[in-house]
Amino acid sequence: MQLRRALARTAAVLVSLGAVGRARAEDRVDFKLNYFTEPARSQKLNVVIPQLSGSFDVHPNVSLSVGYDADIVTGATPRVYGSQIDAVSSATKFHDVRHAPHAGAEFRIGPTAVDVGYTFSTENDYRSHQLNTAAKVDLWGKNTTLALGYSRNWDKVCDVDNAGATPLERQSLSNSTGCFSSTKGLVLRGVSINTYSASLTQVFHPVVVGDVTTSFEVIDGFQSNPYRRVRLFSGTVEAQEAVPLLRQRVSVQARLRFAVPRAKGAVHMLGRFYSDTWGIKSATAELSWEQYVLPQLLLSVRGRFYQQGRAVFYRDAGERNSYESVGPVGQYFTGDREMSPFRDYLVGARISYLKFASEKGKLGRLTSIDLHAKVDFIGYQALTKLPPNLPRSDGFIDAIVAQLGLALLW
Amino acid sequence: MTRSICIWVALALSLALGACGRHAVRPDEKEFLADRIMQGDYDKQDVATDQHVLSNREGASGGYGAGGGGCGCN
Repeated sequence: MQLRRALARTAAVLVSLGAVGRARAEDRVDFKLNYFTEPARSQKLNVVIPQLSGSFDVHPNVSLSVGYDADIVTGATPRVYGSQIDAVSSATKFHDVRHAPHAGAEFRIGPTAVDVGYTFSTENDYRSHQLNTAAKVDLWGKNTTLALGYSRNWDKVCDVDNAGATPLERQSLSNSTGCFSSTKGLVLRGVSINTYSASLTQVFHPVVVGDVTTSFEVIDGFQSNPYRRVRLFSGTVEAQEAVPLLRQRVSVQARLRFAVPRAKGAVHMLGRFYSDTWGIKSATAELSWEQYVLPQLLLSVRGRFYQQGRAVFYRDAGERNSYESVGPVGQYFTGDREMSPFRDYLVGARISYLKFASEKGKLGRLTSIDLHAKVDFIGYQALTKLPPNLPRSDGFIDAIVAQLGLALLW
Repeated sequence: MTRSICIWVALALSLALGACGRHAVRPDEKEFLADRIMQGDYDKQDVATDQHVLSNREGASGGYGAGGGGCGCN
C-alpha cells in the first residue's frame, strides 16, 4: 500500500512520454538497485527497489522495451492518528512485495514518434493495469519539440466490506490476508486514473535548452489507506480514514539547462507548481550541476526544496480544532502525512564512470558502459505541531536513498 | 495559485516563442546540446525512481516532464 499508486503514475508518464525521445536509439539494458530508508528510532521503513529494463530496435522505425521493477518493503507504521497515540506501541510491522512488469513499443515516422506501453502491478492488497500512449513531433529544424501524453489506470484496492456504514462507523483493514481471493468480509474497491500531459521543449541557444510541461490528472475511486484509522471526538470514535472519492490535480513545470563548455559542465534549474481539488498547493525548486571531472568520470550534485500546504479536510492533532476536539471536516478525516503542510529538503550526489568504445570491438559488441552510484539525503520539516508519522521524522535526516546502476549500450 | 500557474505558463510560452524569432540553432551548433549532461531525462530509470520516492512522501505528483531530452540532436 505504501508504494503503489504513485509509482504506477510515475511509470506511466515516463514510459509513455520519456521514451519518446530518440530518432534511432541504441539498444540498451539498464539495471539498478535502489535502497530507500527512513532511519528513525521507531517506525523504521526500508525499501529495496531492483529495476531491470531493456530497449531494442526491431526495425529501423520500431523499438520494443521490456522491464521489471519491484518494491520490497519492510517496516513499521502507525495505524492510528491522534494526539494520544504512543508511537512505538501503535506502530504495526508489515512486509510487502510489489511486482511490476512492463512493456512498450515506439514507432518513428519522420519527425514524429508514437509510444504505447502497458504496466501491470501487483502486491498483497493492490493491483493495477495501466495503458499509456504518447506522441512527439520535432519542429523547425528540431529546435522545438511538442509532446502529448495520456495514460489510464484500472486499479483495485482491498478493503473491509463497509457497505451501509457511515464514515464514522467504518472499520479498517487489519492485514492483507484473503485479499483478491473472494474472502467474506473483504471487498475490492475500484480506482481509475486518467492522466493528460503536454510538453514543449525549445532550444534557445547552442548552450541553452528549456522545456515546460503541464499535467492534469483525475483520480476517481477509493483513495483512503484502508489500514489507517483516525481518532475523533476525544477518542470515543476511531474510524477508517475517509477522504473524497474524486481528486483532480494540475501541475506546471519549467526547466532550463545551460551548458558551460569551458568548465565541461552544465547547470540545471527546475521550478514546479501544483494544485489539486483537495486544496493542496505546492512549489518545488531544484538546482543541479553536472561536471566532467575526467572524460570518463561524471559528477553530479543537486539541491531541492519542496513546500506544500494542507488539504482542506486535514486537521492537525496538535491544534485546537483537531479531529479529537471538534470532529471531522464534513464527512472527511485523514491521518496521511501527505495531507499536512510541510517542507522537504534534498541534497544529493551521483558519480558515473563512463567507458566508450572508440572503435568497434574494443568493448566487444558494446558501444558504451555506464556504471554509477548515487545517494540522496532528505530532510523533513513539519509546519504543524503533531502531523501523522512524526516519530518517523525525529532525526536531522529523514530519509536516505542510495542507488547502484549499470547501463550497457550497443 | 491558479493565477500564478497561468502567469508561469504564459512566461514560459513567451520565452519559447521568443526563441523561435532568433535564427534557428543549426545542427552543427548542437555539440553541447547533444551531450548527456544537457538532457534532463537522460537516465529515465533514475528519473522514475526519483519521482517514485518523492511522490510517496509528498502530496503533489505529476507534470514532471514529457519531452525527454528534446534537444533535437538526433
